[in-house]
Amino acid sequence: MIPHSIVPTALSQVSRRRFLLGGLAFGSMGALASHGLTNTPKASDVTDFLILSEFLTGRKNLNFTLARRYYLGLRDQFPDLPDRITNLSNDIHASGTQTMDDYLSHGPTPDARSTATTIVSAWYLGVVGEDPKKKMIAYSDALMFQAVAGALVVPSYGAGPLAWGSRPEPYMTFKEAPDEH
Amino acid sequence: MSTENLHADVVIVGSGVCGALIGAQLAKAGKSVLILEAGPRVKRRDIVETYRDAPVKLSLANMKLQGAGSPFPSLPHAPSTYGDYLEQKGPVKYNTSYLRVVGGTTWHFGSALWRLLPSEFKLNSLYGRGRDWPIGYDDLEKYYGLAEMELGVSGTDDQDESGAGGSPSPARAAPYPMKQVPLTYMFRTLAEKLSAGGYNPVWEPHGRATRPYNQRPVCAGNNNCNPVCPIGAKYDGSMHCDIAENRGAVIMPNAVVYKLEDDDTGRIQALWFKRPDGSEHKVTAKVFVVAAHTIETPKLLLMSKTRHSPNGIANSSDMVGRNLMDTTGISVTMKTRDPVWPGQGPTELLVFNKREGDFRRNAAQYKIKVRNTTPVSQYAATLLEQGVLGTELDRRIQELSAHTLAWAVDFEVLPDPANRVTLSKTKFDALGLPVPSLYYDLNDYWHAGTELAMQDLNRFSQLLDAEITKKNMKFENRQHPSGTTIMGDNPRDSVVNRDCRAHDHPNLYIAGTSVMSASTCMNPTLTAAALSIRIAERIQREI
Ligand SMILES: Cc1cc2nc3c(=O)[nH]c(=O)nc-3n(C[C@H](O)[C@H](O)[C@H](O)COP(=O)(O)OP(=O)(O)OC[C@H]3O[C@@H](n4cnc5c(N)ncnc54)[C@H](O)[C@@H]3O)c2cc1C
Ligand code: SF4
Repeated sequence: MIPHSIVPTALSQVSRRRFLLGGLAFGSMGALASHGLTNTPKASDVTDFLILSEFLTGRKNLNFTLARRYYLGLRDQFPDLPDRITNLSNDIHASGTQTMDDYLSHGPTPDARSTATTIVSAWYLGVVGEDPKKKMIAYSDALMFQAVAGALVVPSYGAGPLAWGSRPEPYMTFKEAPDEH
Repeated sequence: MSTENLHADVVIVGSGVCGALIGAQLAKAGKSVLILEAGPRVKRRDIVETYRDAPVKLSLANMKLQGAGSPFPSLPHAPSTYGDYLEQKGPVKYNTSYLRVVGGTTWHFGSALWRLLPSEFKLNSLYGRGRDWPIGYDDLEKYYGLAEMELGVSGTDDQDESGAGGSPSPARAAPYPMKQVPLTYMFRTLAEKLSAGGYNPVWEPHGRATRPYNQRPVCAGNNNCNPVCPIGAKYDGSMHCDIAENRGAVIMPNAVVYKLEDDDTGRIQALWFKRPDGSEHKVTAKVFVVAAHTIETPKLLLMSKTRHSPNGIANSSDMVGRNLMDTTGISVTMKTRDPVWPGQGPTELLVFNKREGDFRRNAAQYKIKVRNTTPVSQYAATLLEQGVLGTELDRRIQELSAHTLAWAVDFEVLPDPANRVTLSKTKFDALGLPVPSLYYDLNDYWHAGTELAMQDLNRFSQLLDAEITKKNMKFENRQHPSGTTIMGDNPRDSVVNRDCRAHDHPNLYIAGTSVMSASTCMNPTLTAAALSIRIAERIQREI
């Protein structure tokens, strides 16, 4: 059993904006840098961050509340985050690619790649920042567990009394399956 | 100093499994029992919450990170051993990590609960190494059985636990209280493939409930046995603390014992403890039991320098703190061709033992175990550090999780008086008490054992169609300290006698793995628990 997310699923606003991927959505990021930072980001900043995160992680249904917390957590630790996001967004646009895998094979700039890694690390590990400022954002919702879901539980969220034994089959499969048999 | 004077029939230092077992049994027999515990009380749900909320998570799979990740409290008067509390003086670091909380270190133990074999009580007479115990397996069999009932052990009956694939051993008067957990895919697969190569899989006996047992639910495969079982399916010492208290024993948390006092007849008259505010309190009793863990017990005895015992209580032999042992180990990582999927169910189960044979004249016996901890977060972090992104990131997390085997080997360590716990001369805790200073080294006997184990692991990699990707031969501490108040018949070279009573003091007992005369390569806690039940029986007869 996958533990249920404790946060509600994304706002409908997000799905509306999702249509805009590749155009307007990233565009508004550019404006952010000049606004100066406030503690409460505009909903649109978070939505833009969410859409960018979905592109970077190849996921379609990331959670708005978590996006907000990752965004705030990252911005706290990296004050230049808005600029970095703008640069990354511009680089993605310039590449003209539609998926993260295509973008990666196209070859991001070193800066863009580094920003992408920072954001993906946060979503995958559920943690933002480096020691000693490491901060926990999500545990069971960390994306890394999705790669093994179906086969392995999130530690401390058991599958149930003595509920194991058959051959583990992860939900996520890949075209080139890891060399089995 | 306080004028408050506490008195009990029996006062016990330490509320770990050993202290709590004795307290529970003596309280049942109607004795007044006071258990003094250095650390605070903790609640399971708080520890689980702290664990889930921690950015760095402690587990047996990331030992190197342990400094950061323990969800258990570290207080000035009872500092955590994660971090730099212990002073290291020897060539080999002895970085053990016991807990100071009500219930003790078993809160985060793996719960492997093994009996020793008859031959393991006779290392010296059989193989000319180390020491013999003054008692044998037959003396302990009954108490092993009682300890298995108390702790609730699940196990596989009728297997040869020596690993030689012979008839069932050691001999048992009764079956395990609970049957073994079901096998996971990985355990089944590995056992099949290695059996085909002539190896004998042994299923580890352990303290996870496989049927509702006392207050414990059935193990639900949370894969979180270390650092904390979220549901209390796995045994820990807090359970006997509850039993002891329900039977009328008093547990006093945040009471750090720093001194025992004897009189000219050798009897212990009193002990002293400090509160976190530094206030000092005296307790008198008929019988005293020190059950403060293998590192802290000798520290307390060495701190107790009195007019009659100028070298410290129970230390006329100068053996207190010496003969520090462990089951110090090595580890090997393999990448398998076929997916094996470690991480389902409990964190350990399958082992390959090499406990008996003439090789023990020249080389340490050992136990090879495969870790079954979900290592997803370590793999994800490493891949991200390497800059892996996109679909490749998910694919590689899955691949590494499914195809990586983490083997760990535990070795017997011989008792050597030079390996020891002393009192630091320069480092003190918030109460002004010296921290333990540790000197530890390993000899050729241990190294010879590692060579034999590596031969097995190389053979494993062939049988499993796997490639060895990493080796760590660098002395991994296995958290199984023993020997520091060693048992023997001769008061000149041992601290306690065959009853775990101090040679020097008729009303002082020492409970814990510190009394073990030989480390063996096995996890020591069931033996310490059996001895504790035996101690309680002795005390019950005396008072
Ligand atoms: C990570 C890990 C995994 C382990 N896995 C296994 C395993 O699978 N199988 C196994 O057999 N063993 C295992 N062990 C070892 C096992 O935990 C110990 O053998 C066991 O806890 C010893 O019990 P004890 O009662 O002697 O000591 P503890 O459980 O350490 O309890 C001692 C208590 O005494 C208290 N105390 C200390 N000093 C004082 C003082 N001065 N005044 C008052 N109180 C004091 C402490 O606070 C503590 O609560 C493991 C240990 C660790 C760290
Ligand atoms: S596997 Fe889970 S439920 Fe079972 S003992 Fe370990 S932590 Fe507890």
